[in-house]
Amino acid sequence: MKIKHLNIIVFCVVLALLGGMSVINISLDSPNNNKNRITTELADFTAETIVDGSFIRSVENMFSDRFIFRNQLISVAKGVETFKSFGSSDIDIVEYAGANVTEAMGQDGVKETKWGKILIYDGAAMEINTFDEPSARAYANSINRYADVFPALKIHSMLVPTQIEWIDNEDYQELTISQEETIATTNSFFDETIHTIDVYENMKLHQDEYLYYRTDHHWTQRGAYYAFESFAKELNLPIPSLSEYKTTLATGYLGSLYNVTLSEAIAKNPDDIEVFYPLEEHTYTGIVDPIKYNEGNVIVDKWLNEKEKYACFLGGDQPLVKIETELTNGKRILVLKDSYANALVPFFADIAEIVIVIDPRMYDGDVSKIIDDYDITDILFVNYALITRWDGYSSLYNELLPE
Amino acid sequence: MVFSSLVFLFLFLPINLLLYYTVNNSTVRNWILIIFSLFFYAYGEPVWVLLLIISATVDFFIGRLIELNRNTWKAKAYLLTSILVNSSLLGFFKYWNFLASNIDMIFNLSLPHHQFLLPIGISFYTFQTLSYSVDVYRGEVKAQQQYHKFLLFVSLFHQLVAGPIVRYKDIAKEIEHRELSFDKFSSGVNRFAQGLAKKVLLANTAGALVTQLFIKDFTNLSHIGAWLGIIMFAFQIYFDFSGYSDMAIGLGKMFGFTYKENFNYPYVATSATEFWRRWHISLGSFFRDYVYIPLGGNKKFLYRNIFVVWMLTGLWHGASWNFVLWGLFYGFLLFIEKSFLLNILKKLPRFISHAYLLLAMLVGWVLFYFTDLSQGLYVLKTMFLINRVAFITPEVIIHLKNNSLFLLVAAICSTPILKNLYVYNLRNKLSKFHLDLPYVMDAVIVGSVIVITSALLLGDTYNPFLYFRF
Repeated sequence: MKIKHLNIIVFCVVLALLGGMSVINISLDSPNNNKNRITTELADFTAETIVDGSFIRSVENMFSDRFIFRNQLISVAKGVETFKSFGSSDIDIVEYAGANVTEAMGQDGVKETKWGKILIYDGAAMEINTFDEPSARAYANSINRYADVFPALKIHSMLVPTQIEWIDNEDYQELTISQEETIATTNSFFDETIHTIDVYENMKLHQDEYLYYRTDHHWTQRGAYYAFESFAKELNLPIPSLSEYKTTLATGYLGSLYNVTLSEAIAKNPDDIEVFYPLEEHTYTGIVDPIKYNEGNVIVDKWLNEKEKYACFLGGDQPLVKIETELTNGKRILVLKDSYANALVPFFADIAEIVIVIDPRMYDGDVSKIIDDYDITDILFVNYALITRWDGYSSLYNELLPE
Repeated sequence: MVFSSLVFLFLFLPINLLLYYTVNNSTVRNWILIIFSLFFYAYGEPVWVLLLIISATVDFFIGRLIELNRNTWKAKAYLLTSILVNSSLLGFFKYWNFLASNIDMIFNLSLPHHQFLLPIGISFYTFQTLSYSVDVYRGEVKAQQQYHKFLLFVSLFHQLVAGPIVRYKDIAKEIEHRELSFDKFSSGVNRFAQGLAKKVLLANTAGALVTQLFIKDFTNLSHIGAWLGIIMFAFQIYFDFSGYSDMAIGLGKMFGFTYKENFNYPYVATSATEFWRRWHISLGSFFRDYVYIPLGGNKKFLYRNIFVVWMLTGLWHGASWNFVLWGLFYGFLLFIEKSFLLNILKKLPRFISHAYLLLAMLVGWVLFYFTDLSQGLYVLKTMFLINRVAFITPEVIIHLKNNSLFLLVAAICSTPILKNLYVYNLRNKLSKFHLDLPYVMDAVIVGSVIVITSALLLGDTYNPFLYFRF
């Protein structure tokens, strides 16, 4: 072997070294990421999983998931991608899988394959809205069914516009479907018995404030406050002003859309998480499963020190959350929701006797039992407006109803 | 399994190479290759690997029977059997549903359809086994007497799933006896790295943009958007396919096989005739040797022969009318070029004839890309300003800006410029400093390609869902 065969040595050594170290990494079973993530597991080795390919897929996922130097290599990949253009660009459109990043993942972590796009503009990443009439209709119909099944209850629907609705550039506004229209069209599919809460106008009024995270697809709690204002006004409930709340601030948050895009342009601009604590004494119980549950305040402070800071609101998405207060105003609210509700619901501790929050992606019981048990008076559906692009949520809501 | 996957690169290939080179017995080596090849195939097609074995077994025996019965009517009968078996396999899995739904439409019937997905690589290996039987019949090659050696030829994972279509006679000697050398291995490594870079850096990048631009309902498709989309597809399919051929040729060298070149910078051609001498060469020559010439070639029924060959070429790419149309489109171009256009093109300045080919090629790729003809037509109308849509959209401006350098690099890599610069220029200059420097350079390139491509492959599998649970 001579120097002219140096490439053979490099080739073999790199393959053997990275391959071998990855195998060792897998056998030591050390998921190389933070503790909040789900680690991939091998599927059962059966004739069925071999034939349908799911075993092989799980092998591939596991191998890439625990690949040695995974995080460093992904940074290399991001670096290589900047070579696609002359100069650097702070505006981009990125495709990603999943209707609503967190929502798309069900209880068993099954990947939802629907694709969406993200606009990176002005230091913020924003999901681009599309409209799918059958899905919007299905969404409305599933809520209409609640009115049929529970005629004695008041049913409210709140669809929340997202950040891209308020961008100041006309060209980029054209990329996205108006959420004002999406909300109006979806509302038109509701039966008359459904009470729609208009949060759009109030949020529009305050659009220059810090209503949305730049690095995450959620709204800030300040954004949620203006929606709360609209809701409480409609129901004639007292509305504390923002300055009355005790607050705290966590900095350096890089959220879901940063994780999806790994965009340098938004990494330069991390978010602050501003938290407003409820005024009233209350007890909060988050029930993860019948045995495991969390207790304390609706604002779970420990998450402010973690990477996933948005989980401070209600402790993140959980199958069922129960908030009991000392109020006696007869308001007993059931919230059916996506993660947008997490930042909103803490305000409800000041206006209701009881609030039950059910995440239909994780809860698989019968909702009528909850309604009886807690003597529920109102059901509020909270979703971001982009949920209507996708028919997944309507079936999740339907599945909660008694057969 | 595909070459551009982490499992192939970091598990399958190193283990295969290690075992192959540690044993010194040619029969054991053959068996190692066979077992790895069957595993490679079964990894993606756990059931239909049987089909491959059946096809190989049938043609192995037919080859021997043809030889035993040479110059008798029986030899012909055996050859016909091989043609029948292979085309039935291909016909059933690839074309039956297409044929049945067309018959259904014409005669208002409802023939049964099957639910099987197309077994991977069936179009390649049926052609390889078929060509073997034909070559034995024609006396161009001796029938293989040992089953495992024939199975090795058919199952060889280098070219099994995406070509080139390797003919038995071209590697018959190497099936019997292979020379392994560091020189061969070294040039195989360079070639493999080149193909891997084409596939992962260029084809995948272009492909990601194609799907974004040609989103299914074409809302927002602008004139420039349509052009950008199809140009990106042209890059995607060329770098994907030729990258695969490079990797196959490189792997072949590492294991002591020599496969013929399959691509020769097709996008620098100045006519459709030349394009097809540079594009998927092993397919073109297959149809030339086994269909066009037997039908009479240039001498008898020229027009019919052109029509048949190009319809089949189209159909080979997929069971759908758009592929037939794509094939016939080239058949038509070759026909008019043969009749008069080539003479005119020769007299014109090179950039004009080159522009003609590029335009024809892009129109061809529209027909090829959209299996739904009405969509293809819509995109063509958009490209040629017939549809009234926006000239350009903000989204396309962003993509153009963010891929400006990529477009330039992809265009350069479609020509021999880079190769000439590197091989004849840079390496020469380096060797003047020190004779070993070019080899160090090669090694650096190989190392970087492996690291960067695996980073990009990891980035592709990067699944944000795994990181979200709050």
